[in-house]
Amino acid sequence: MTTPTGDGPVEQYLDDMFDRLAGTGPAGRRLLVEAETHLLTAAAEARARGLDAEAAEREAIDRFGTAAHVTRHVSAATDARASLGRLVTGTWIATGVLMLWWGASGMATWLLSWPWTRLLIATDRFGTQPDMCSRPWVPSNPTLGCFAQYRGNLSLVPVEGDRNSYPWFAVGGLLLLAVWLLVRRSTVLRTTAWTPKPAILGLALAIPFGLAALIMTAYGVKGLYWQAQDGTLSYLTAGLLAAGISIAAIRRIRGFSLTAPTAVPALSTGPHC
Amino acid sequence: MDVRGHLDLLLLAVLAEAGPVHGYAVITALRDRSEGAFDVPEGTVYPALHRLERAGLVVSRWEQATPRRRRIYELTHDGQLARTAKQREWRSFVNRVQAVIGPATAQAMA
Repeated sequence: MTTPTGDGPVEQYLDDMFDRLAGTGPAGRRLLVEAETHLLTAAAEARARGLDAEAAEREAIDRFGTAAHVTRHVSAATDARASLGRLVTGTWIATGVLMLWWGASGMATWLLSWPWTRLLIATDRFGTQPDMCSRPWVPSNPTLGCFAQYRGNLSLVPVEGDRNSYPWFAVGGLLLLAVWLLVRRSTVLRTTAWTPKPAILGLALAIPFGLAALIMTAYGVKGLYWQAQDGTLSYLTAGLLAAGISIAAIRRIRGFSLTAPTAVPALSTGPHC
Repeated sequence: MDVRGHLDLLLLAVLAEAGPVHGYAVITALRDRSEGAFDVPEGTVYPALHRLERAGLVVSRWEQATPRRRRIYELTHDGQLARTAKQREWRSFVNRVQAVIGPATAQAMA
């Protein structure tokens, strides 16, 4: 507990608030400054009405509410939401970077396979040996061609269907990162907030989980009716779980767009007065 | 009078009428316009304003010109829309309740 830095009731109250707001970050600091300004203004008004200094400060504090009551809402409101926001944003960026890296590296490998194969053929052991294709035992299948055979044997070169997915991964990753750059917020202090608005984060959860729910549930239902598959129960469970997450995210989006507008008596049942 | 559950609408309405104001003025307006009936713990208004800001309904900035640092709050376009929607819902709710319980004069006479 912090030792009070002043003798007045307001100073002691602010010290109490300071202790209770530990760990709440910028939101806590902001509330502390606002509380100080509010209490000093209210006390000054009370003194102007004829109260002595201590009575004026006590009246201001009584009207402000207990420190425990006021600060409870701040810590509860910031920690969980901020953590969830950071988690979703981090997953979003990591997915974009991984998809871009996977797709771009696959495309680069495929594109570089031609000059790389020619280099291998022409300069076995980096030029110390003659051209491999001029050796009598290569190629073993003359109709295939030396170059195609060597290139086909390179284990790192994507082949056939595999290589078709790389551009899509790269474009998908690029789109994810571009969308994130577009939806970043600029705060009132003109600094960049890396987490997008809560409604957008909700959409980022609702869309992929909603699509996954549809696909997995469809697989599960198909397995139930058409053929008894081993994975049917897993598909159904995962599909229902994804649907639950998607529905929860959609409810959050609605909550943030109009702050729970569905019923007037429950306009905002959140952690506030 | 307990305003739990209705504080968002009240704050949005005060901000819509008063324009850009600091928190203390919001609380004063709330108390004056309700003729003292809505005597909420004043400290709880600030977390509520912060929550409206996180929801994008309000923006705020520090006012540096005054001797004490004050945070000025202002309604956004989304905030205006939300205020209109909440107001409409509230009036509809009141009308329905009124239809059930009957007019005040009839109750008083009974």
